[in-house]
This record gives sequence, C-alpha cells and structure tokens, in this order.
Amino acid sequence: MISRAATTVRQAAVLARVDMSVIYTWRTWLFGWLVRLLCQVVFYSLIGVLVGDPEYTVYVVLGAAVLICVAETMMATASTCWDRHQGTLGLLAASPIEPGLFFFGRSLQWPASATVTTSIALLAVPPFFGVTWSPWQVPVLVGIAALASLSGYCMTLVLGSVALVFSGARNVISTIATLYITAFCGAVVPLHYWPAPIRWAAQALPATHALEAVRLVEGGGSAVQVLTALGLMVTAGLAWFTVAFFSFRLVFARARAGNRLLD
Amino acid sequence: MRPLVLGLWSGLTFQTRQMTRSVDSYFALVGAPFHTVVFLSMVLYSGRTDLASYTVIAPTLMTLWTAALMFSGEMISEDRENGRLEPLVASPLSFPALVFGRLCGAMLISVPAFVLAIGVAGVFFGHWVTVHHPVVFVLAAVTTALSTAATATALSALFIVAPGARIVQNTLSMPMFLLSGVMVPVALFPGWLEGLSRVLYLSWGADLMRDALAPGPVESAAFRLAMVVLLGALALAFGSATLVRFLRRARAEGTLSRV
Amino acid sequence: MCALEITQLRRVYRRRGGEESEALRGIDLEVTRGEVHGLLGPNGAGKTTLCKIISTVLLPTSGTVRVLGHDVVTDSARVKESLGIVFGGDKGAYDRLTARQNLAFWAGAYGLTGARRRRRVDELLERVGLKGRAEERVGSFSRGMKQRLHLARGLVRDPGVLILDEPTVGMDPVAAHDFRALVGELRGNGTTILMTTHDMAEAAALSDRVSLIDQGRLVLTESPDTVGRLVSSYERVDAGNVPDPLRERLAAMPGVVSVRRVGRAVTRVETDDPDATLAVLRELVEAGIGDVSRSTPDLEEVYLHLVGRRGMAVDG
Repeated sequence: MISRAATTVRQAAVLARVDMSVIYTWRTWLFGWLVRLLCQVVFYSLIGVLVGDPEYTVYVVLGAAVLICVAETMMATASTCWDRHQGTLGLLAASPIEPGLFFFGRSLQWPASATVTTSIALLAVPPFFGVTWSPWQVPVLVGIAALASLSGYCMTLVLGSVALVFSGARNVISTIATLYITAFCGAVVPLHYWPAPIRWAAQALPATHALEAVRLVEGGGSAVQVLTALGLMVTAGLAWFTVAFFSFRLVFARARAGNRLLD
Repeated sequence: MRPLVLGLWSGLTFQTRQMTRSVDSYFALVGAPFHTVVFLSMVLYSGRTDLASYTVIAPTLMTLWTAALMFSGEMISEDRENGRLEPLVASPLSFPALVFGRLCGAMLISVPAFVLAIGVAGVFFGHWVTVHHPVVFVLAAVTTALSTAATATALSALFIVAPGARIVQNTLSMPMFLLSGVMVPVALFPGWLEGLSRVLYLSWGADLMRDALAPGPVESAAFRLAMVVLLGALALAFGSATLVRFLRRARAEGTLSRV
Repeated sequence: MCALEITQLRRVYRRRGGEESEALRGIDLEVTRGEVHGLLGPNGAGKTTLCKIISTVLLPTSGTVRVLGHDVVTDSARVKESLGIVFGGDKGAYDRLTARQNLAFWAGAYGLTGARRRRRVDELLERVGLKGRAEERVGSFSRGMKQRLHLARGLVRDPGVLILDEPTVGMDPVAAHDFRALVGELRGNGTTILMTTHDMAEAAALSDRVSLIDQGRLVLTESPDTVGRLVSSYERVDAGNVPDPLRERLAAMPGVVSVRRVGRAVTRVETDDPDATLAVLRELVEAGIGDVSRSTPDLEEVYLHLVGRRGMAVDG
C-alpha cells in the first residue's frame, strides 16, 4: 500500500522534473526567475525604507522573503491543469492511480525550487537591510524554507483541484490566493492590524507560521517557540493535504458523472 | 499615411471590442484591489498617511504593465498560430500600426484599475484620494498609457523575433516595478541606479502622476511629459522597425504561417 | 464466462438549459473471453460513450456493465486493474516525456515496479516498433507514432480486456497494417478486445463478431461474414442524363430501394438484390444511356439501409 503510494508520487515526480527542465534552463532560472523573485523582495522592502522606519524595514524584508515560497508554490495551480490540456486526465481516471498522490508528485518541482529561492531570499537580501545572520541560523532558515514550501504546496494543491474544474480561471485563482496571503498573513503588516476574522483565517495559512518561525529565529526566540511555530505550520500543511486528497477524489468522481472534464 | 491610420484604428476598435467579450482580458485587473490593500496597509500602519496617494498610483501602473506583458507576449504568436498573420500582412494596413493600435486598446484596462484602487482605498480604509492637478494627471496618465503600448509593441516584436525570450516574459514584471519606481520613487535610489531608472519611461510617468495628486505645485510638468513621450516614441520606433524586418524575412523564407 | 457483460445500458447527457440527450438507449451485449468484438457505427452513434462507461471514466444512467465479472460502478478498482484502454487520436501522452518515460509512468500507475517494469517497457517498445525512438520526446512524434505509443500504453498491464476506441483513426496505411498484425497477435494470446471503428473493412478483418450501433441502439450483432453478405447484397448504379419518365420507371421496379439525383446530371439507383441491379442496367442500356457505372455503397449508405431509414421517394 505504502510502496504503491510512493511509486505513484515518484512516477509523477518524473513529470515534475521533466517539466522543470523544459520550462527553465539553469540560466533562465537563475537570471530570469530568481532575479524576478529577488526583485519582489527588494520591492516590498523598499516600501519599508520609504516610510522611514528601519525596524519596520526588517519586518517587511523578512516577510517578503518568506512570501517567495508562496509565490512559487502557487505555480502548482496552473501545472495541475496541464493534464487537462494534454488529454491525459481521462486515462488517469481510468487507471488505478490515486489522484491526490499523483497530483502531489506532479508539481513537486515548485516546492523544490521554492526551497532554494526562498533560502536565497532569506539569507541574501536581509543583510542589505540591516539583518545579520550567524552561521548556526543558516541551516535553520533553510530547513524552515523547505518545510514552508512543502506546506504551502499542500495548500496550493487544494486550489489546483478547483482550478482543474475551472481551468480557465486558473491564473485568476492563483493570483487572488497569492495576493490574499501577501496582504493577510502578517508578512507586510502585523496580524493585529487586521480585524479578528482575518486573524483567525490567517492561522490556517502555513505562511503565517513560517513567518512566525523566521521572525523568532531573527529575534532570538527559544528553540521551543520556533518548533511550536513549525509544528503549527506542518499541521496546517497536513490538513490542507488531506483536503486536497479528497478534493481530487471528488473532482474525479464528479467527472465520472459526466461534466465533460475528462473529454 | 492611410495604412498607418487604418492599422491604428482597426487595432484599437478590434481590441476594445475583443475586451468587452473576453473575460481573460481582465486578468491583469485582479491585482489592483489587492495591491492597494497591501500598500495602503503598509503606509497607514507606519503612520504615513501622506503617502496614501502612492498606493493608488502603483496598482494602476502595475496593472498597465502586467497587461502590456500579457498582450505583447501572445498577440502576434496567436495570430500566427491561428493563420491570421498572412491575411493581415496581405491587407493594406500597416502591421506595426495595427499591433500598436491593439495595445493602445488594451491599455484602457488602466481606467477600471484606477477606479478599483481609489474605491478600495476609500471604501475599506476611508481614505479618499484627491486629484489636485487634474489636467497634469490626465495628461500624465494618457502619455504613460501610450508609452506603455509603444514599449509593449517593442516587446511583442522581440518575442516574435526571439521566441525563446517569451520564457522571461513573466519574469519582466517585478524588475520593471522596482526599477521604474511605481511605488517607491527612484529619487530614493542610489545615484547610479536612479540614472538607470531614468531611461525607463515609466519612472517619469509614475513620478508625474504622484505629483499630480499632491497638493504642492508640479515642477517642470511639460519637460517630464515630453520625456514620457520621447522614451515611448523611441520604443515604438524600435518595435516598428523590428516588426517590419521580421515580416520581410518571414515572407522571404515562407515562414509567415508557421506554427 | 463472459469477459464483458452489458445489460440494458442507458446514458443520458444533460446539457445546459436542462435539455437532455440520450447517448445510449438500452444496450445489451455479451463478449466472451478471447473474443475480438468490433463495434461499428457512424460518428455520434454512442461508441465512445460506451467505451468510457466500460473504462470507468463515465457513470451509466441505468443498466449494468461487468468486466470479467466486476461491476464498473460498484467495483471500479478491480475493473481498472484488468482493463487496458486506448482512446484514438494523438492526445493523451505527455509530450515533454520520452516514449520510454511515458510508458514507465503508466506502468507505474498500474502497479509495476523495478526490473519488472523495465522489462515490460522494453518489450512493449519493441512490440510497437518504437525501440529506436524510445529516448525521444513524444512531442516530436508523428500522429502514427503517438498512436503506437498509446497502444503500448494500453498494454502495460497485460490486460484481460482491451478497449480500443477508434485506434486507427489517422494512421498511415503501413502503421494500420502493423496495428492489425498486433491485434491478431493479441487475439492469439487470448486477450478479449472490444474495438470501435467506422471502417467496415477493418472490423471485418479483425473481429470474431461485429455489432452495429446507431443512435445509441445496437442494430445487430453478427459475424463479419454475415454483415459482409448484407453489405454486398446492396448495390448501386450511377447513370448520367436520365430523363424523368425513365427515372420513374426505374423507381417502380422490384428490388429498387431508391432513385435520387447525386450530381447535376447523375442519377443514383440503389438496389437490394443483384438481379434487380442487372435489370436496372439493362433498362438503362436499352434506353440508350451509355454513361453507366456500378459500385457497392460506402458504409454510410449501408447504415442507412440496415437501420431502416430507406429513402423510397424519387426526389428532384
């Protein structure tokens, strides 16, 4: 059972790897994609400089760096729809494959790339805005980036399952989701700035807890505090994965009833 | 002259009609209200209400540039894939003028973007933005939109000549927002970077639009407007020349209709 | 035991606006183990809907389908394990993967792992003649090559039942010939095959039995020979410049099914009896009409006869 699940994920990850190698060469990834993401971090950070508060600038630069993994894993919304355009969805539905596991493997290139880009953003940009990292913080931050990317990816899979049905709206869905998280997860202004319902909703976002963890590492929080934040983040990620797992099943079951998704 | 007018007019009317029908065209609009929320919350949280007007200009210009990238990347290659390029080239209109006309039509998207940004700032944050210099503002907005269309024409020419460049199409958004100072004025940049930014028409347009919303007098408005127009015109000249050269080569090689 | 057991199968599509269309209207069909069954019908007859229901990607509105004894609705997991599917056309492969990667992916999806999977993929590449191109991206393949790949994909699990939906559409003659040889080979191995097609010759050459489907109903199920005889008993005669009184005389002759104009000056006479054909030819020649030719009708016309929509009227 478990080995079959692992095979499914591994096989689907071959698609992820090949897709990535077609979309980017190392040059376009480095000088196109990474530069774009770093520009995004600097763009938000400069607003901190504009308002003229160095402490707030540090707050924003860390927030903007963590948002990189949100922006990148959100690409999975679109790549989940690629099977629909390839005409393979019907064959997948007819095979014994578990759709949730397949789609988990299918877009793994994004959390993998996001781990690298987010780590670079976290380690390289904040020093320009007055943050200094000590050597022991480096592996911790990379670990947080990896877990945050994976948890955020699990949330994106739920959006992907929706985009699979409304594939014309896939870019709108991912843009709205990215910007909602940008505004309301405590990346650019603290959560207490927002009304209670928005604060509660933010607890469901892995990015909220990832930010908490990064800010604790930067501000000298205790290991227990950091691990608590990470635990909440992973829990949120697992919960989203469970939702995605059943959401994909539901999408396939609905397609079987004949909504032309599999044509 | 006639092919130019014909091309411009056909492009403009085609695009505006197309946009009223296709939902996809409004994709670039989605960001405007959210960006307003993000930027405005940042400046209000920091107690800088004086910067509130920046937060409606930036989302508008970001929508404009996003639309420019989106349309310039797809317009010609779609025509080519659907076999429309040959009849278009065979018609009496000027093809570069048609592309520019279509992109000018696409720039109309900035109007609802501006309205959305103003609305979000007013309704959700109680911050109604006042336009203190309406004439300068309208002139700045129109010239910036036209120069964006011109720059997009140059980009579309680039994308059709070097299809590989389309891979970087969606990576051109953030660097442009940053370098042209749509939110943070380039005057705050270190000298060498500011010099680089001044080559971009958008940096002049963004500064001028912000100044037009502020109560103080707008300095050397005419010169700054002229800079927006000049930089746009240079882009349009480059784009047209590239398109003409591409069409000549494609006709010689018989690749006009290649998919 | 039946490999495929279809009972009173109905499928209704609901379109926007509440309008309903019935794609299958009570299909009954049994296909025994090892049988190659051809399903013939024009476009829109319901062939693809039937294939989709059997392959568990579409639910029936009512009725049952059993594959090797397993119900496609209540036991779809077992059905999926024992079924191979090849949908026609060139979509449905991962263009960015190589042929080998595509097959390895699907073999994994059907539970093959490690050395067994590698062996199976090699074997299939060899079998469909793609071994030399195995490391190329499928996006660069021709339509025929993609179809061969689809066929190989349908066979990854050595299925008990193979569904082929219009497998040779758009194949070039050489590929189609190879494909037929492969089906023959599979039949030798005891695989049960349900194959839809609108190519009568293909169905006749490959099938043990043939069913004709039209507007969601099975019109008949017979051996290809019987269908072939039915087809050959219909003939047609085309003649140029036939005057109206002669046309009326021809229409009244026994064995003449229809008389109609097909071109500006060409009249087509259809008969359901070789003797009638001879009589028509004689009548035309005696009337001094030299521009006469005789042929057998194409499938479209045979359908018209078999499904009973005979046009008896003399038009024009």
